[in-house]
Amino acid sequence: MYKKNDRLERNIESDIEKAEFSVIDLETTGLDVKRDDIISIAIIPMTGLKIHFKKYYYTLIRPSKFSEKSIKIHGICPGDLNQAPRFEEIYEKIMEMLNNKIIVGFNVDFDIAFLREKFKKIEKKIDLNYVDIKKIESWILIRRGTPKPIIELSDLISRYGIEEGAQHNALVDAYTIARIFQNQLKTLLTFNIKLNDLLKLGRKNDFFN
Amino acid sequence: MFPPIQYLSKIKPFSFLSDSELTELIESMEISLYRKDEIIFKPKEEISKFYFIREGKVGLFYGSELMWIVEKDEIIETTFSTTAIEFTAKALEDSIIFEFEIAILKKILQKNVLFKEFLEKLISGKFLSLLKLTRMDIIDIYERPIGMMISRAPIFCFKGKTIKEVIELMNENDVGSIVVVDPENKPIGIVTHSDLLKIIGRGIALTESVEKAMSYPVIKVNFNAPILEAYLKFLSYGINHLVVVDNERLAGVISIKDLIYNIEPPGHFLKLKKEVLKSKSLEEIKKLSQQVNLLIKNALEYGFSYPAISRLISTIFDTILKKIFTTLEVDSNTTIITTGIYGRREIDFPLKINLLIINEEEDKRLSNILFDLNIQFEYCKSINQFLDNLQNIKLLNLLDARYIFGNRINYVKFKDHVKEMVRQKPHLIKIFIDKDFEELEDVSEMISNITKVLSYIHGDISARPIWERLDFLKSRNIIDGELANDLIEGYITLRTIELSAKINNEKPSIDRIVYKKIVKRAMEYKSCIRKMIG
Repeated sequence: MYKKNDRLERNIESDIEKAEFSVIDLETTGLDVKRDDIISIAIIPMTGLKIHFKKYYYTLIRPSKFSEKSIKIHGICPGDLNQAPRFEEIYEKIMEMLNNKIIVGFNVDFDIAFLREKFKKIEKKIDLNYVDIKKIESWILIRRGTPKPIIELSDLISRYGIEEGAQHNALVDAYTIARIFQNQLKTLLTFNIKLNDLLKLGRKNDFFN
Repeated sequence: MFPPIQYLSKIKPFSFLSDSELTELIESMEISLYRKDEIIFKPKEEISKFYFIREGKVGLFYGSELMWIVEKDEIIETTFSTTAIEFTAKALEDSIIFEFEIAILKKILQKNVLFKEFLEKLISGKFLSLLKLTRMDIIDIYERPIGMMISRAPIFCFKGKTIKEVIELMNENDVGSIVVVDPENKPIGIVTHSDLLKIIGRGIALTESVEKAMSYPVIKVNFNAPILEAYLKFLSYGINHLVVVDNERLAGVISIKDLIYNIEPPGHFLKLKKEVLKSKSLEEIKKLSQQVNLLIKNALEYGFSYPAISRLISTIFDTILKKIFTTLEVDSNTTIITTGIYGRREIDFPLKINLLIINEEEDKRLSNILFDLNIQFEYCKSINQFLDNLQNIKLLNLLDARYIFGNRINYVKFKDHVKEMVRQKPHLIKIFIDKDFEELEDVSEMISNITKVLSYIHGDISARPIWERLDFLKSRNIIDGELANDLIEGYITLRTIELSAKINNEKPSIDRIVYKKIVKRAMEYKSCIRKMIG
């Protein structure tokens, strides 16, 4: 019998190398999930160790109200957003790219909370399964016997020798997260970690976070 | 700036791309992490991507043999050349690879000349591993129209023929492919050996019509399209034969082999030599010999060193000469010796050949053909008489005498006689010591003349290039090792410059500092000899 989450379950049952991931990053007008809005989103699909950058999705999103104070973080100005679509106009594309995929992000709880709230506002339901590269990294470090707190994405950029670019652009950050996650997956495979374990350790709270 | 764009913009050949071109390329990108020993691509696989190693090491294997290693920040060039299908690429360590679509690259290549130049230079650098390429030369080759590669009329048939008839047509014409055309001579399919294997596999009867066997639509390229375009077609479709059309009508078929022959200079050499050996008439040989000057020109453009060009050309032209003499059935009592610069296996442009023919009587047919080929020759009826009346300067040319054809005993006698003459004329060497340098050529001539006489005096009478003779003098401690090395380098440099100037029809020019350094060493050579002879 067809189940709603059939594809996701099959995804989770598959091994890491065949699993389908969606790496995401959002920029918002502020930190308050209830009051602030998403103003840009980037999603990069991955299959196992392969990053399908060519299939990325990136868009600015027109918020209901704009907060000037966030400009200095992401550099997006109100003028940039005049022509941008509203969340209601693009939610289907986002759903298509996130449904049945394992979402990957940095401090991803924040992104997930925003997405849930926005979907709730437009009365759409979405299942979001996710892992956080920050938590995966903490797990790897503990496993290696060298626990260390990770605070910023830049800590991981230098650790993995990823190309650097301007941060706080959703696409740049999503790219960076994907590259870090790709490296982490390789390490996890050497530890013989299965996808189910990854889902647990990628959401588990550790000593530091 | 987007991180991979920023990264690639500092690495050649990507540094030749504009931000928008880089963005276009990046938007076609996938990033793969291959674990150690993982296969990236296999031989005969259709490759639609080209690979940039962001991290790690990739080995290219031919069979089980590791041919070369591509490392961090390098591209796997073979994915862009016809040789790709021969190799297996395997990660030698965990490797992160940026994979771009060739179709996008091709689009960019059409717009960005610098990028194209560099990429082609890079590819050829590996493809022709022996060569050091200069940028413009290789571009020139890749930009030549593909049509020039067509070496024979295409073999084709109309649809409706049976497979059996097509196989017979293949056999009759000794070709690997038959193009199927419509009544307007427009290609509609192609049948190759691999298509035939497929129909055998599928159990299709040979009495069936050719349409059942042919591959279609036909992968074709326009007659005037650059060679690079053909390269890309071979690569993207993984085919061995490419149909060339002129105005949509069949103009020819080129194979991967044709492409390699034409692109790779050693291929030219091999091809010409093979054709000379196969040739049956004097007319044919004459025609082939006319290609030699072009070959010298191409070889220099490709960055071959003067010693390498000399060796290759003299090997080929010796074959041509021998083929002429055997085709003419020259009397076996005749001795044919080559003298002068060609005698010592060095070359000039245009190629100059001097022959000395030792025979009682002149062979008119031989004289006529040598005359036609612009080969200088003279007859010598009696060795003793000939040598006794010789001027010093002519004697010098004979120090390079080398056997080519005919009676060997006469040749040995001749060499002995020359050796004795040099021994009796120690003053011979003085002529060159006292001569001043006026032109660039004077320096190389002085080095070569002193070296020739000196090596003769010390018992090396073989006709060898000057650098080999200098090596001989060095090994016998006749001249100082360091001086000999500098003279070798200086001589080769001067000869290369002279050759290049002659090819380009201009005055030889050399960096003043280099020239002064060579002249200084040549002066030391002179004074060293002066001391030697007292």
